[in-house]
Order: sequence, then structure tokens, then C-alpha cells
Amino acid sequence: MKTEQPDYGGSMAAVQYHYDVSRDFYRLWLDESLTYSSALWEGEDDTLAAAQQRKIDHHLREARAEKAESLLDVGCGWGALVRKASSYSGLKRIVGLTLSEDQADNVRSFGIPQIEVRLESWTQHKPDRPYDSIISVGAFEHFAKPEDSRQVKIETYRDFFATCASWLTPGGRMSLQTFVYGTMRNEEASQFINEEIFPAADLPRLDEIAAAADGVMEVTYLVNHRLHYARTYDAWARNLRRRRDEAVKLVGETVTERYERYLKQTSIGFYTGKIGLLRISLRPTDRPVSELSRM
Amino acid sequence: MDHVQIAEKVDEAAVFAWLKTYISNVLGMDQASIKGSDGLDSLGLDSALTTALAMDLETWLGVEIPLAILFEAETLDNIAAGVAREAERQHVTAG
Repeated sequence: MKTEQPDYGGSMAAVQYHYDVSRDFYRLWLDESLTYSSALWEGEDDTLAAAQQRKIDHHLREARAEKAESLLDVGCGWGALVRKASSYSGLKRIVGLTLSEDQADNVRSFGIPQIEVRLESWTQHKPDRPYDSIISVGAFEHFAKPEDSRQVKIETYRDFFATCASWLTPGGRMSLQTFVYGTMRNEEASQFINEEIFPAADLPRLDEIAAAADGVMEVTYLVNHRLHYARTYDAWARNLRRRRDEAVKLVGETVTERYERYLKQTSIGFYTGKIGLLRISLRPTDRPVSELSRM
Repeated sequence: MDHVQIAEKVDEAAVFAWLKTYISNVLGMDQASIKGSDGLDSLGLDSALTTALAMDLETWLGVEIPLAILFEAETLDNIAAGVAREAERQHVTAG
């Protein structure tokens, strides 16, 4: 296959390995919106579904979607965020990018005219008009490969920030959410997670993200919500355990067992701080003051 | 989960004894050297072993134990107390 794009931005084979197991399988343990990223919890009695919608609202607010006419979701998953965005009457153009055929099919099945889903990575995307809002949840962690040096990782992330900045209208905002390595050193990064669950991916570190954004986008908000993701992963683990028999029927004993272990172990990684979960708001730098004063 | 043997009447001491046996087995330690004031981390349980412990603990108890209970507690004593409380709560709820 001839390709003129850089070979980063997420490997399609790797993404499909993880996400195309079977939508019905994920349906057993995700919330009904099929949101496969950290929720934003509030209080002891919160539900997973409510916490996922709160997370989506957080990103829509940080990306200023309420005032936007156009929005890009880089890594739209099964479409929970673009679907919620379509309830904003001002948003006329909502574009979701995914590398998973199954996820794209699901978004198309909504039949919402202002949503366009594209089976391509951000390195392949060539928008003909800029966006007012860009959101990316759970995609950034797929951009770098395990063999990439720190310098190569930073360049990849920098290209992503520069590309997003170039796609934003003046006053446009971006909201990002990603896994990061926390206290874990590279050499102890879990072989289990890297090889069995997310092959061909390497997690970013906070300092790499900061170095990559420097001079390209300004970080206006940053929080490590690792305990939110610990709670989310454990909620998924318990959902899967409750519906174990159905899971085994769908994907077999081996895959079910692999996921049970992965969900619990990842939750533990977040509880202990080995891995973190960053929510970051950004705006492009290098904007003339005359543009900024109009915001 | 019909393959699960539900433990009857689990109190804090029983949970602590289970933890002690389990940890001594997986780490190859003498049971007597594991104390209530030890923590999972200080004993040297990595995330893979802690994962297995959490899953086996649920299987033994026959109830779901949120991981938060294991991680909000710093010592085995506190974990045992939290787990026993949660098991009791779920048995009561289940009627």
C-alpha cells in the first residue's frame, strides 16, 4: 500500500486489534453510550453512565462547543461525544475520525446529518475548512510506538499539536484526554498491557507533552485524574464479571480472562500512580493580539 | 457465577488470615513474617500479583470488592476491616 502520510498517528492494525473484538462484547461492560475512556465521577453514589456524560460535557465545555459552529473529534470511538455535540443547535459540522471500521459503522447508524465520520487518522485528515473546537479523548496514547526515542515521541506529539493549531479558527480551543506514564519507568512498563492489549503503542509522559506543546499551544488547564480512571476501570471489571457467562459465549474463555485481568490490572496501575490520566485544555499560541482581543 | 463457593460469616480476622496465607504463598514468605501493619506495596506485590489477589479474593468471598477498598487502606489490617465490612454490607443487601 502506497502511503504519503507519516507512519505515526496510530496503527490501523493495532487499533483494530483492540477495538474490533466485537461491539457486543464491549456492550457487556461499558456504559450504554459505549464510552471507552475515563469517566468524571462525582460522589459515592454516581453511576458509570452519568460519570461518562459528565466527562463528555467537560470536554465540550473546555473546547467551547457551545459557541462553536464546527467540531472535530480525533478518535471518536463509538460516537458518544459527537452524538452529544449534535444536541448543540449551533454546531452545524461535526467530524469524527476513527481507525476502527466497527466504530465508524456505529456512528453512521445514528443517522445524524451534521455528523460526518471518517475512517482515517489525523495524519491523513485534510479538512477544507477550519474547526472552532477540537476534542481528542483516548487517541493520543496510540500515536507513539514502543521503539520511538523520547525525541521522536516529542516530534510526533508536536506535529499533532501544530496540526490541530493550524486547523483551529481564531479563538478556537482544544480539549485533550490521555493516559500517561506516571511513576512507572519505561523499562517496567507493563508487558502485559503493551503486548496483549495495546500492541504498537507507547504511552506519553507529561514532560513530553509539555515539551511538544511548548511554543505551539498554550496549556490553559491540566489535571491528573488517575483516580477517576482507576474507578472507571474497576467499574468495567465488575460489569464484565457480572456478565461473564455472556462474555465467554461471545469471545471465549481466553479473551474474557485476558480482559478481566487487563481491566483489574489497569485500575490498579491508576490507583498506585504507575499510570496517570491527564485532561488538558489548550489554545494555539502565535496568534496576533488583535485576534486574541476579540475572543 | 455458580462456580463460586460463597464463604460463610467472614469477619476481619478471617479476611486477614486469608490475606496472610495468600501473600505468603505467592511471595514464598513465612506467614509469621507478615504483619497487620504491612502494606501490599511494602510486601512487594506488583500490579499483576495484586490483580490476581483481588480477583481470587472476590471468588473466595462471592461478593464484589471494589479495588478502592484495597487502595484506600494502607495496611493489611485496614484492608481486612474494609473487606469484611463490604462483604457484610453486600450479604445484608442481598437479604
